[in-house]
Amino acid sequence: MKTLRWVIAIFLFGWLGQYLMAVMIPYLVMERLYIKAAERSGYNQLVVISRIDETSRWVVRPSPDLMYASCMYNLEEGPLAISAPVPERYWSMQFYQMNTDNFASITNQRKQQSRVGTRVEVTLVGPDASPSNYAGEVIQSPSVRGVMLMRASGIGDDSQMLSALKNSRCSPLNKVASS
Amino acid sequence: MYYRLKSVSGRPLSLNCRYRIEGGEYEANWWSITVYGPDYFLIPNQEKRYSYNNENIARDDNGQWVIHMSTHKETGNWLPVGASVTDVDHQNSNHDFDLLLRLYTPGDTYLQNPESAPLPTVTREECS
Repeated sequence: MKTLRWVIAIFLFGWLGQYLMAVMIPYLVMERLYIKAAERSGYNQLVVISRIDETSRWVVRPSPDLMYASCMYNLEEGPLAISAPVPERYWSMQFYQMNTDNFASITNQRKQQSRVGTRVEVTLVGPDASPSNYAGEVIQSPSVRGVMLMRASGIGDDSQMLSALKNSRCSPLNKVASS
Repeated sequence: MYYRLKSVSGRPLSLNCRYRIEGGEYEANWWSITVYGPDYFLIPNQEKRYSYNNENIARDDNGQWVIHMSTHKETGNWLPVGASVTDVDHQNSNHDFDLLLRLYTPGDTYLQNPESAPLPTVTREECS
């Protein structure tokens, strides 16, 4: 009987340990990435990441075919206004919460091809905000902090794509409203 | 979605060998195939070519494509491989490089059943 109890206890602790690890690892990875990026460039502002090559070390397995712009967001002090021109070639705007889940996506592909040539204007609100209080396209983040990542094709003549990223914005909504 | 390949027929990808990668189209908004060193970073080369994707790969009339992967320059789609910048402990990594296929915004079929994506075929052609 004693042996059986030990076997059950070991099984339970093993299962619990594995479960906790699976749940915690995405948070830890994201937390590290978030802190590292925010130290370099701050919160709630857009940073365009230059051309990727063999010297790029900001993340492992960087994609050399894409250009990136990121905004490490923190919605503690209110929503953000995100604005971006949508170019013709591959482009996407992805939102990640702190467990790395991709909770929202805007693209210029397939059903959203009609966005090409327009300007995306998004209000990003926190988990406790009421989206109906805001006009236009509203995205609600499940976590107060997270990452907005824009990807754009960097193949061949990338001047238009780079210009689209550089003309994008990510800033507190109250600053946009008062300016 | 990501698919990684680090060996062919059980033998790790090696700088001493020449490889042929064959494939077609994918049900995805955008795809790319990239070669990385064992340090997980891009491999230095004069051409600064690290990958091919659905916008820049040369295809035949049927939409199929072939990439040659080797240390020596080749005609057509060629992915150069070579030594990595960072010294790597080969006890933890017995391959000289690996391949990563990225599918951006894949179709529902792949999402529900990732094995259904027709992955590229990689063949080891010759080794020195």
